[in-house]
Amino acid sequence: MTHVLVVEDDGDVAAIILAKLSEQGFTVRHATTGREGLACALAERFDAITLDRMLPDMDGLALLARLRAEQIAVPVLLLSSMSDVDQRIAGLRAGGDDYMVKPFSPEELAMRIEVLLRRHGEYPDNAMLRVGDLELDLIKRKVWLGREPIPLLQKEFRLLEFLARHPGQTISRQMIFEQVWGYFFEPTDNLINVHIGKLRRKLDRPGRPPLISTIKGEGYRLDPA
Amino acid sequence: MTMVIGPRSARALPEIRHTTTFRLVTTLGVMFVIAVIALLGLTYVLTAAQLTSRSDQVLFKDMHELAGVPRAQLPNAVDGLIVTNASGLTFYGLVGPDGRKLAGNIVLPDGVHGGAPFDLPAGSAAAVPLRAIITRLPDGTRVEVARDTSPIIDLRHRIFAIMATSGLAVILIALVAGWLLSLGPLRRVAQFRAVAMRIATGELGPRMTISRRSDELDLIAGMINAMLDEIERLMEQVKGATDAIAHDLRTPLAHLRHRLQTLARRATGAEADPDPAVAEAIVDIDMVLRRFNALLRISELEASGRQAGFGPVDPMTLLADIAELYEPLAEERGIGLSLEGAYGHDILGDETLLLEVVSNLVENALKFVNPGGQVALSVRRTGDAIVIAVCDNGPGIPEAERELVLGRFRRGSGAARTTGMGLGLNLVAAIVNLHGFALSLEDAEPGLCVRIACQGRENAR
Repeated sequence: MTHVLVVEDDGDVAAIILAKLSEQGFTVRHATTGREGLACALAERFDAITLDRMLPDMDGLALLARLRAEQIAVPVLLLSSMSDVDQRIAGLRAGGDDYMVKPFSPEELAMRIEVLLRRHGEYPDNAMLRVGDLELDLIKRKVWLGREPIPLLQKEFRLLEFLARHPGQTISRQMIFEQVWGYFFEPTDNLINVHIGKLRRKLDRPGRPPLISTIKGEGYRLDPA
Repeated sequence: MTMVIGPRSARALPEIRHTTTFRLVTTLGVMFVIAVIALLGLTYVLTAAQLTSRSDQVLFKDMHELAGVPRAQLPNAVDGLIVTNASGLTFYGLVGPDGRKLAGNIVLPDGVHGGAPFDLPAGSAAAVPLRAIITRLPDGTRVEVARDTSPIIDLRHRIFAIMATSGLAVILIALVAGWLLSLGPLRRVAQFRAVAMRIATGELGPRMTISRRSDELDLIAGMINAMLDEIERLMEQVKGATDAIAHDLRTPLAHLRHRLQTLARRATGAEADPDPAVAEAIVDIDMVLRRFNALLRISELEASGRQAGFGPVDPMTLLADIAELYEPLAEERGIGLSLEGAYGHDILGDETLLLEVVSNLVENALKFVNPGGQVALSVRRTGDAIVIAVCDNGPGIPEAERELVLGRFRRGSGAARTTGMGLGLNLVAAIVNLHGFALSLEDAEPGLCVRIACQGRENAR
């Protein structure tokens, strides 16, 4: 059972996070202050932590630093209303694994936690990645669909790799933009759609269900079928 | 349309001429000169009159002396006076009714009557100018006394020269004093102007310096500073209100979005696509949220002024990344996307923010250019600046609107047919401003050319 610690002082926000994570089937622990959060994190073993950047008694980054100093390597998703790039960088430098700007959609939060969990799970990092008929050689950067090689450009490969690392999981456009391109500003929907479209044209074969589905209002999903 | 502002270093004379101090000093100088001229003129007139009256007195005295002499002894008396006249400036003459000289050393031209002294120019009776008096005796004999006036005229000329010279000197002194006195206030006015220029570019922080003299300039500076404080406070208030609205509305909107999504799921089941109407609503909410985020981001950028994330950036690499990112979108819309320039230029900036700038510009260009059009990205060195340009051959922006489109939410009239946030160019302006680069929108004939003139790193602060 996945166990998540939510350190969040805003009651409304916490309620939404808790509801969403419970809906995902996670067990959730809620802490409203930094001290309480730290105590929980030190006492129990969690699979992931969502951490508010600004807590009433301490800075979220300070808490994070304490955790890392205690050799607690649990993935941490920082939540902040500070969208500035510098803030994001500071958060990631302090040992955060991902950074989300408030307000966010609970779906996006759930997606990001899933990604964090998988990233820390034991997926093959230097081998072949297989999703259904799709095969990715992560070293040679080559792709096969069935036995047919699919020529992909560098960015297309990274996009497919990112989706393939999280099969069956909806990935938002913002996440794609951050992970594949490394850009932190908001892309227009169209921009990512077009890249996905290009990738689809290379992957889809007549008579077969499309590999990448669009989840309206949320993002994309690579189906393992 | 790019405004270039810099302090004017040279204080040219024409500029000084317009200062209040200079005008006051010169006005005073002119009045002083008039007074001096009047004073000297009066002195001159009075002195001249005095000198004339003195020589007239001499004439009268001699004439009076001769009048008391019997007619028969007049020739002797005249000769006697000539001998006793030590100065040699006085001439005497005794002329018979027939015009013949009976005695003396002068014959004045005839025809002058009456007992009043009169002037004779040089050369008429003697080589020198004369002041003369004639008395006609009952038998027609004329007794003439004349005095050489050349020393007096000489003196008058000298006085006149002295007065003219001193008058000119006074005028000159007044001008120099005016210039010197104007320098001080002008220096302060120049300071004021430099501060005002900075304020005009949107920097509301600087204030006019106030000296300890509490003069009228300090008074004005104090008033301007108070006004600026008030303007800054009001702007803060307005901006604060805007930001607060954006900030406060974001959370309920996010909640609303969440509820819509839950609703859609409940209606159709988790795996199926949500109701199209609900999906549309979610897309709309996303757009509103994006707008608010952009607004807040602009505020953050405007407020931060920080350059913490600055480092060396190769603009060509940046453009190449953006070109790669937008190539598929351009292709889909049938628009050519070209890249021109050389690698190796080095500017100091925040790469992420600059990527956002160029991305915004390309996004805009792709939005407005019709299929078949062109969007060109380029890097060029122009003088000291490295110019990043995003040019298109779309409809462009009318000159009058170019300044406006940089403002929050403003969109050109041609934008009505395309959807857009209207905040893109404003965000661009905020980021370019943060870097201290110059942004200009130009006519590409046809189309729009957005240029960002960056300082090369070797020229950076």
